[in-house]
Amino acid sequence: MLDALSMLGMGFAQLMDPMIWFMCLLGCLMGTLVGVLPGFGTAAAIAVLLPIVYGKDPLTSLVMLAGILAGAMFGGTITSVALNVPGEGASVVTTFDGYQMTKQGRGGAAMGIAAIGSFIGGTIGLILLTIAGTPLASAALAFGPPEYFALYMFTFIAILTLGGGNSFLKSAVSLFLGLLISTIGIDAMTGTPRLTFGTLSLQAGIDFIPAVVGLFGLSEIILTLTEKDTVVLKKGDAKFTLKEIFPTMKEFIQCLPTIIRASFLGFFCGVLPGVGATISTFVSYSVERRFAKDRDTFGKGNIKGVAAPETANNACASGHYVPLLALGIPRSATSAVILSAFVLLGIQPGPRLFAEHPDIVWGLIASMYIGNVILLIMNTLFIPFFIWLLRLCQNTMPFVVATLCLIGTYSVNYSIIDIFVMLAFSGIGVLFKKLDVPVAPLVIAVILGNELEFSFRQTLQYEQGSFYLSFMRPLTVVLYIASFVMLIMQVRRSYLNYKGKEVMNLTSDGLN
Amino acid sequence: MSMQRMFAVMTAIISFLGIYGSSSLQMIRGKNIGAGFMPMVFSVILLILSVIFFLKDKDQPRLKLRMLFDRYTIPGWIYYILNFLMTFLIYLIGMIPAMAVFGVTSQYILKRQSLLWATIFTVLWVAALYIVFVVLLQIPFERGLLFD
Repeated sequence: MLDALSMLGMGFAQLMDPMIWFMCLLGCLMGTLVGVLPGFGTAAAIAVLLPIVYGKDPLTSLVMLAGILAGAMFGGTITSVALNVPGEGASVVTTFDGYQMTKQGRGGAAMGIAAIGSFIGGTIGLILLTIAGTPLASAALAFGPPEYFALYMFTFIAILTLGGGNSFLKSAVSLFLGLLISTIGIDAMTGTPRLTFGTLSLQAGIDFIPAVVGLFGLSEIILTLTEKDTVVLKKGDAKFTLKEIFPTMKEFIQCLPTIIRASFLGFFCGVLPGVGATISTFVSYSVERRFAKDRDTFGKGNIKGVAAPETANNACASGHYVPLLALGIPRSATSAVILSAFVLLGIQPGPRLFAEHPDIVWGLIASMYIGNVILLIMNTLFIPFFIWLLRLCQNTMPFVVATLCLIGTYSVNYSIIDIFVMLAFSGIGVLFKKLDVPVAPLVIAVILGNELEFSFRQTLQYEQGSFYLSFMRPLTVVLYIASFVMLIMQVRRSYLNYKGKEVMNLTSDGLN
Repeated sequence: MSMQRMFAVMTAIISFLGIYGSSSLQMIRGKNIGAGFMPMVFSVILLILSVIFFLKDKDQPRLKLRMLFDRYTIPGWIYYILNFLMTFLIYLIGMIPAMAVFGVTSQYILKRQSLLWATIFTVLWVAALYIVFVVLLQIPFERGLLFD
């Protein structure tokens, strides 16, 4: 615990640069806007901004991206409560009681408690992340090439489980398509061109930036344009005065146990494989409803029905960082894009991250505490501003996003070919989303495919061609057993779904 | 054929390309794998998955042309095509004029703005992008074949 505190202190020391504070503020602002705008997800927002951070200082860039992620969780509440339209999947549950409270004239208090709950949930999640960080860093030293290969296998199988029982096959198709794409280009070990079919421009391989921007950014806007029920915010909709935004002390005390319970629940949902923020909100809401004395009022404007999901989704966002930072395993589409940001900045998340880049990891964690404070202020005092901005921006979004995607993609290599690749991937993204095929496995495979192959080759070299020797190592055995168990459970769940039997489907949010 | 089956056929074709492309590469290299091993493994697995996908979705409705081009999907198509046109325009006339043309046309065609507001917003947004990317981030914008 003392180690964790001293490392966190070092993290805070990294934040002396005013630029980092500015980027944190900017990220929180952009994230809140993204959360407010229905139809444009967090993953899409981070994907669009990804190329802009290329070549910049890693800590400053990551702080901004983390701000976007946290801000989107906060901002999703505004449309859920005011308009009954969740900006994010994780805000769906908030509409149950939040919108009812708005209809009763207590929408401001719902937003206030959501912001306070989000702050406490996010902070408790961060404390748990801080405590988990130090032991993970010491465990990293046991990792060699066989462990890395086992870890990548575990990651890919965990990704397959993200889609839930219904889309196991679709996730697998998406994953292997991504793995195949990752092999295009010159083989780093032998220098042989692979799957280039004589095309020179393919020799450098398919860069993951156009893929991420196309699959998550532009495709999202194209799909929004084809939606049948577009939300249009008119003048006079969702007006709140500053005075109405704060809940009463009685309401706050009533919600405090709920907030604390939802914080722990949300965090553990974030750490668990295949359970995302959306599920964490449903679980925390059901728990509160089941144990509440006034359970009949849930769904009719109970303030605890807003506090529970909003706290849980923010704590879950902190929980997502544990497997991402410590093992390099993304838990959702958003963390897949964050993973690509790490790779883009030349940092490989995984077991050695805490040991090799403690300044960046702990700086990032420390910045999240500051981000939470900024978001609390932003989401209590500036709600009227966000609603005004939402009204102003809703018609210009497609143009704004398209230009950002194009310039962003271009700015990485100054190449128009990259823009065409991005456009092709956005078409693939639309097709995938129309067919309900998860996009995240493809992206993760494009990013990590080469690492998987490289670690396999290193393992063979390390064990002198005898792969079975890696089964003699305890850590690899644990990882292989965990992968096998996860795979079997997923196959069983898919089989039960196929047979039409009812099975609890713990799908991750925002996988598409 | 249903949309799902068409998708399965597409992934099967990609996997065939993968098998064809990797078949000429070295599979084993001493005590290690060669350059063609992984692409071959991934292609074969993708092919198997495509076949299962094709067979599994036998009850899906057939894809009809009007499903692809109804009044809801057409704005998406227009926007997608406009993005391609903008990229060609970037190549020809450079990034700033291309974005200006795209901004006005996309906002106007998609009936989201009046021509005046579309023009004002486009000018302001392109100016903001220029300041952020060219002036602050020092990213040289493409000037285009005609102006370079």
